[in-house]
Amino acid sequence: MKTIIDLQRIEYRYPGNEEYTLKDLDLKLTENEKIGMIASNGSGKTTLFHIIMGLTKPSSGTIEIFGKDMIDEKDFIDVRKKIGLLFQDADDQLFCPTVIEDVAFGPLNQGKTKDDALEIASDTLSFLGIESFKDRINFKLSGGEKRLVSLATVLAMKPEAILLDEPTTGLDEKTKDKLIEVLAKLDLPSIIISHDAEFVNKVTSKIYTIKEGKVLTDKDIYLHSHVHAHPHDSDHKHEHTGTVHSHGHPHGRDEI
Amino acid sequence: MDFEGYHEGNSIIHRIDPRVRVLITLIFSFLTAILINFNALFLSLTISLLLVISANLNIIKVSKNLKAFTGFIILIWIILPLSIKGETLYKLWFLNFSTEGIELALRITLKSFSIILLFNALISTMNFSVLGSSMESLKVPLKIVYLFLMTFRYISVLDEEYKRLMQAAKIRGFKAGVNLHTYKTYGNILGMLFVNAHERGNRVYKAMVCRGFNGKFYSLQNFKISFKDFIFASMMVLLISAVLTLEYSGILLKIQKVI
Ligand SMILES: Nc1ncnc2c1ncn2[C@@H]1O[C@H](COP(=O)(O)OP(=O)(O)O)[C@@H](O)[C@H]1O
Ligand SMILES: [Mg+2]
Repeated sequence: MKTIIDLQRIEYRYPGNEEYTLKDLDLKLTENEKIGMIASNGSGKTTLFHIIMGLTKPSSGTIEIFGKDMIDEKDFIDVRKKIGLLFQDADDQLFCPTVIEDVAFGPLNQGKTKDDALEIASDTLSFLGIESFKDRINFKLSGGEKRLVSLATVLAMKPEAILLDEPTTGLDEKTKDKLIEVLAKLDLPSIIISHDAEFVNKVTSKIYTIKEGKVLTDKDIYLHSHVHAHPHDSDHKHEHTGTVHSHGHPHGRDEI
Repeated sequence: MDFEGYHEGNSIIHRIDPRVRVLITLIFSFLTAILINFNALFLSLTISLLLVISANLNIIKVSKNLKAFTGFIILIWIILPLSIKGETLYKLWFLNFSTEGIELALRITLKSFSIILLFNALISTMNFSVLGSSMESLKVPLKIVYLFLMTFRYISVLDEEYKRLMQAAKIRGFKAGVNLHTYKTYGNILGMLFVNAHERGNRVYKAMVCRGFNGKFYSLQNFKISFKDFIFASMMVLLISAVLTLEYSGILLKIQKVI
């Protein structure tokens, strides 16, 4: 199976912070893999995504993407064409006055002609069922609508893998269902950060978390809960079986 | 605040090439700003009014836009007649209302209303992207164009952030007053706004880089000059010449008087 993202021994500390946000972190995403990521606020999920995209440079560790070692900015320019990142805050992602311009921005940068870019943008909006948003003004969209348009800007670049940073914030149930449907239809390798366990269970096949700067895979989480659960309470059977839910559950709600 | 204007209309004005409208607005408002002669000023105001009417604008919205400006105008009417020295037109106790001051206040009022109406009719009738693209094609430096477009996009985000911070302060019992604590709190809020804006700027740039941004912007607008644009431009040139004629004949009259 082809490896898409392979991070090894990544360390990162924000300038001015004492603590390392990410410490000795390993993470692997292979094709056909859909990883859900549930971890508490401030555990470094967003930072991790930014490191994968080359937006934040780790102080040490190696990044391999599509089998290629990422060394400098030039390598990442290629990566950004193939991996789409949905930002945590849609207001960061939508910076053009109108919806259609924002969605066409990526394709235009990829060298598409004006007409092609407009066509791709329209098609992407239709795919998400929001073609009626086309000429609307970005800052007048609701939070949920902004999320969908942000997703459109990512999908318009035809990514081979996607990273979604809390895609369900601000979505009502109906829109969330639509998103679940869209993600199933896309069927792209993905890492999806969310605090919504039910959503993550529906769109991914395994759930990881981040603890003390490290990614714990579903197997780690299982071991973790196994070791801890035993001495305290050996009767509690579902502590063993509920691998994910015992530890991977979100601790806080939204960021304030 | 309403940033959207009237770009959804479909009047004759809406159908004029945006570049022509931007150019005419620039020339006409610059000219109006330097007019002295009252006849010329009244003609300029009339032309702006006619443009507003042909753009078929919502009169309530237009008057709201004007109302936002009346505070400034009232201030001018209070300050100028009293502070400009000249012939006394009216004396109230120790207050001298000078003719020169009143004339100046009237001029400023006419100029402002004329220019505001002009912008309402010709500029607010296009959306911001179109305005940006026309500025670009009129060779306005790209940095300015995109500064302008981003400001339009993010001013409401900033406004929301400000409201959030204010609310956070109010929830904890903050009440604005005339004291040091109030100034300190406002200072902190302003500081937070700057920090937030700076961080947002960084994140927006990152998001742009993720979508392949490499310093170049592409416009999606297709402009095409047609015959009606030509007619409109010629009419406006004629009207502008008329204003100029009034202005200069006024000056000539004055010079004759002096001689
Ligand atoms: N620009 C920054 N400067 C300093 N510290 C930061 C910055 N951004 C994030 N952090 C810190 O890094 C940690 C991880 O942040 P983040 O990756 O955003 O977490 P998450 O997305 O999991 O909520 C947090 O403790 C946060 O305070
Ligand atoms: Mg985050």
